[in-house]
Amino acid sequence: MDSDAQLWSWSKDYSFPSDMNIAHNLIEEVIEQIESNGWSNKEKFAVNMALEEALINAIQHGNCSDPSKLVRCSCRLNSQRIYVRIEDEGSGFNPNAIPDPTDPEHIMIASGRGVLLIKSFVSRVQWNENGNVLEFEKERNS
Amino acid sequence: MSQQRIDVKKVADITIATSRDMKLNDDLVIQEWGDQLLTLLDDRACRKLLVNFERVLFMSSSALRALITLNKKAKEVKAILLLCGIDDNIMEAFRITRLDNVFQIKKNEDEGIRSFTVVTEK
Repeated sequence: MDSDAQLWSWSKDYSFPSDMNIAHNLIEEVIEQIESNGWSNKEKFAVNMALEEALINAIQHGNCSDPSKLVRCSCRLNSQRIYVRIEDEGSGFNPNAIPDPTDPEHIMIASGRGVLLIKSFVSRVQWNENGNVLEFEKERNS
Repeated sequence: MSQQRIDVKKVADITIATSRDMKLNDDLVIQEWGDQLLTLLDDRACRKLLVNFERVLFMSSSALRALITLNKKAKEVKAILLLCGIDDNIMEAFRITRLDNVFQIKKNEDEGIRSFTVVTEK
């Protein structure tokens, strides 16, 4: 996905222990960059949601909230597009094996909505074969 | 010691709980917020509960999970639960997850109060 590196106006690589407080600081920084690139409230919300859910998955499910395990996150942004890559040190998962949380049989089950929200709020998303590396892109007006 | 995450008031027999936080995405905040809402239903006088989100601009799937737990308890104690004041962006998350079919959602507090006179449990 990250094929045209020369086109990014802002990029940053993070590596941090499995701590959602640190993740929230990261999200704040990315959202500030999005704002300064003129993205709308709706687009900002979409990126915020995708980052929040992807980092929850990496920290809580991937790394089991073990602070000795790191999360690596790369963000690239320009006025039209954001690219994000998130890697955890967990054993990975199969995103296609998660029961559809919108199925009436599962709708009252408390968990399983994060992956659906990520897929719905971004333009493209993919996991590596192991399931411990997530990449997504969000284009403006999509 | 936990922080107060909701403002509570009564309008006739309706309990209105307004979320204080602009973001419902921190585990501790969500835990305290969810617990305080659940505690309201421990009171037998609280059988019509309106949760107002007018100050909330972001909520994660963890907050949706807490709402599902609240909905289960409301059904157990035969309380009617309504949500109102949900921001358009957050509403999109409800639609995507189809939770807009699970919860009775009203535009604002006034509409929520009015609808308690005609609403039936879903």
